[in-house]
Amino acid sequence: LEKKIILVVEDELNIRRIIKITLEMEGFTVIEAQNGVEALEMAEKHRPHLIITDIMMPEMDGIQFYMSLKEMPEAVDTPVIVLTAKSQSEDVKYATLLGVDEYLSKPFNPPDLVDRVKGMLMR
Amino acid sequence: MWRLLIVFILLAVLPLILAAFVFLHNTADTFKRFACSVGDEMDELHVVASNLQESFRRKISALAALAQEAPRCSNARGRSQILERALRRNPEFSFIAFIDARGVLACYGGRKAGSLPRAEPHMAALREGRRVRSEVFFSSEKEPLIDIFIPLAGERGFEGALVGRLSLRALFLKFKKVLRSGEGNAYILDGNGRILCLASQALQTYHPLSPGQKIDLARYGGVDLVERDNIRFIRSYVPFREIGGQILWERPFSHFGHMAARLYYNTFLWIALALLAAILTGMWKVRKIAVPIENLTRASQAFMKGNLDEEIVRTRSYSELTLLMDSFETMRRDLGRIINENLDLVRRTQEHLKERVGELKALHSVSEAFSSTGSLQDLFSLIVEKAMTLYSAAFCNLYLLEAQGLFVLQCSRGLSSDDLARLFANPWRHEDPFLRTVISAKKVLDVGEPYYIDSVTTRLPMGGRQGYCIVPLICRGQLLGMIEMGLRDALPKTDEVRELLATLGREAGIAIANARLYHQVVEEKIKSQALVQSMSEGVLTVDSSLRITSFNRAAAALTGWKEEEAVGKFCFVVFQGRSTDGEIVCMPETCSLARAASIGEQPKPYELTVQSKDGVARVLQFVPTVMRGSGVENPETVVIVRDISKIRELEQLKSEFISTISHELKTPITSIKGCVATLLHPRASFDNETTMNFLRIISGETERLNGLVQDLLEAARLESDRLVLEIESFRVEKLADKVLSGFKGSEPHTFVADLAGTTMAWGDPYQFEFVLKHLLTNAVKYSPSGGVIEMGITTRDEMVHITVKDQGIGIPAGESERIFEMFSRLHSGNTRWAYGTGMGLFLARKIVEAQGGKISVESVLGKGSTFIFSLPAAKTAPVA
Repeated sequence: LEKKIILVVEDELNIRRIIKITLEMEGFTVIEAQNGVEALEMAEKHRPHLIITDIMMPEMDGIQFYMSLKEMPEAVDTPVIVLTAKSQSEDVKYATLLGVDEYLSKPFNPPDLVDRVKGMLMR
Repeated sequence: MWRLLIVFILLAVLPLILAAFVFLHNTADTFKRFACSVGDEMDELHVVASNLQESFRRKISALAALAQEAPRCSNARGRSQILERALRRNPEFSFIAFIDARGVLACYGGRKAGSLPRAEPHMAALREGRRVRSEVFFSSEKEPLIDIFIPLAGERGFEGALVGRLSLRALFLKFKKVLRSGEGNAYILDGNGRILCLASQALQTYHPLSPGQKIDLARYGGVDLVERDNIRFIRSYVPFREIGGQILWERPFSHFGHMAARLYYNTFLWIALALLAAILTGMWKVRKIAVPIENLTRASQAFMKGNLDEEIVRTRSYSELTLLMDSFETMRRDLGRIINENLDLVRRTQEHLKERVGELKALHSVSEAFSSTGSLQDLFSLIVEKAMTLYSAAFCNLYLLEAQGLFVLQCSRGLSSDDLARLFANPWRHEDPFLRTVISAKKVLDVGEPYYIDSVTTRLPMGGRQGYCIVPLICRGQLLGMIEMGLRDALPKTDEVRELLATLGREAGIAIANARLYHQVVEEKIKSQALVQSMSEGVLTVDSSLRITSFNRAAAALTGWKEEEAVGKFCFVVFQGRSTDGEIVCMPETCSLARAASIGEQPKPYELTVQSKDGVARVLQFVPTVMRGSGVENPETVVIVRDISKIRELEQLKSEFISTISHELKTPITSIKGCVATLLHPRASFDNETTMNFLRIISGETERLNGLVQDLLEAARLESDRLVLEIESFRVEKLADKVLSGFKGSEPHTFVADLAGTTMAWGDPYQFEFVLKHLLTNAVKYSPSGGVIEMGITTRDEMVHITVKDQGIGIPAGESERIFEMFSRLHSGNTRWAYGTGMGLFLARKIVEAQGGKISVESVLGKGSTFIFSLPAAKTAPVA
């Protein structure tokens, strides 16, 4: 896990901070974005190894972001973990339909997130 | 010669008429007897059956009486004497015997038994004190017998039984004379149709069936037609309940053939007799004329021949001529009388007919007029007027029978006002015997001059009247009321007049009943129409071809189609319903009504989106019910239409709210959980500062959760109208400052406010803070790129106006009212412009309005929004 870059897209400052701290403790490099627009720029610029994104965000939501991301040739294979807060399975259904690799529903346990991240990077 | 023939024919007519009359009378009588014959004999059979049953019962009672008497006599000899006496009195018993308590035959009297009575199967019942009878069985002589057991109860309880063997044939033959069995056969049958015994006198003629034979039981009771041994029989059955069987009477059809033959013979005989009488009478009369003519002819011939015989010519001719003249004179008189009589009869008949035709015409016009009259009151006057003109009555009153059995005056004609006053002062009394007669008789009562009936003379001016009659108004055998008439002339006491009056009463009764029914139906129709029209739900009826047959006001409001436009149109034309996908599904091929009707099922409720004529789209729920009544050939379908758009919209909002609220609740929980999990991580070691940061996050998120829950509670309270306000006057600037201080450091927003004034307002300070805080939060939320947020406080028209102006994204036109509704937020899919439950503005409006203020928004999309809310201004400064 030599210095893998992980992009965290989350509008909630606190959650973003927690994810950052948790992942940094595991030795990852974490870069942050507040919304989809920012995230697209960051993804293009830093080429992260993995992206964690929320769905409900201002400016550009997670689904739109995911779709735009997959249009970028360099990011086609980048694994994405989607955080969903909506309780309805509708979101999950939509995410699966789009081919999202993993999703984690809020509130999540940070160690679980770490496990998922590690699992996906090992693949 | 011609004259002679005419005379002959005329003379023959009289006896012929006589013969025809006698013949017709006789024939009618024979026919009547023929028709009554079957009925009569059924009656006779019933008499026989009831006599037989009665006789059977009497025999059992005789046996029971013996059973009462016997135990008192203890010795055997005494008992056998009793038995002998009883047998003498009741020869239908072939024997009577005593059985002791063990069922052993103890004492016996009568003819030889053939077989001994079997008591064992009946001992249990006998011990219980019940009377028992055996099944019917046959003796060796094929005599149907029945054993009857009567228990004997003595001082020591059950002492045995008395048994009598009863011959059904002996009983039956007693009634043989009554039953005209000479022309048929009579049987007793048991329950299975087995012949028990037979009464027949013409054994050979009609092939009677023998005892023990079984016949196919066509029926229990009634009449039946069968063919047996090439003879057709009429069979009548009458139940014989005592033995669970029936009595059958079998009468050959030829019996009626004999009657017909007799009829034929009678007819022939009478015609022959009449002809003979006519010929004889005619001949006698002709001879009376012919002989003198013959004599005269002979005399004249002799005279012409010169063979003059003085005596013959003079005396004979003279006497013969006199005789002839006498005869002609008698004949002339007779004929004249007959012709006169006939003419008179014809004239009278014509008059009579004319009279009847006139009455019938009048009646016809009456019934025609009755059926064409609308209101009840008109009908009453019409009936009264017609009755008066028909019988030239002096007065006529119409009464209706009310529920309490009272006759209430409905209409009166021909009475002076004084007479009317008297009539009203003396109404019919319930207990009046005359009235009771009227009610029970239900017939035309022609009382003539009723000077002896108090209730008539006290009520009505009867002085000098020639007649008084009452005509009941009857419909379907029920007395509805009556007409009473005072007549100038007495009514002729003929059946025709009564019949005519009764017909008038019936016609009027039917007309009244019809009019009542009509009014009832019309009333019911109006009522049900009003009910359907006033229903808040749309109601329409559709016939089997899907055409609308009725359409109420609510349905018209929902669709924008007027009733008169919609009726007669196909329902799919009027509704053009779409599915939720916007596809038109309201078509004859896909119509669920049509489908359900075609397979004869009740259609299920369904929902359609329907665009009304004025362009409003509504979600309508259709609840169809097919009216399948008995005798309805093409059932109509009633469809109830409800507007459920509001419900669907609310459901949509609710699901959005749940989705939003779960997100809002989960976000802080995620943070807290994340912090805690990170802090508790076994491999984690944080410095003090980091730990404090985590704890601060936890604290902040807890606050946020608390705020959310508070909002929810507040909303719930507002929804259930339990908002509690503590109104006082407060300084607006002071509270505004307090609220603004909470927003310090929220970059990149700049807050501008003039808080130097001392504006006083009435309201709940806590709620004021809540509203202002919420508006400021919104201003921050919806201007993500920062900018100036301006707050202003002004007093105008005794109201304090507080404005919060931002430079944010603004609100699209048309959304500015909706944002104040519960759960509503700016729609933009998953894009999250703001964190919130969608309740803030809803709460704010409720709170402000509860304090007598108003809240509104002005906005330009992309430029920013200005929220303004007001509170009543307070004049006095608060006590420091």
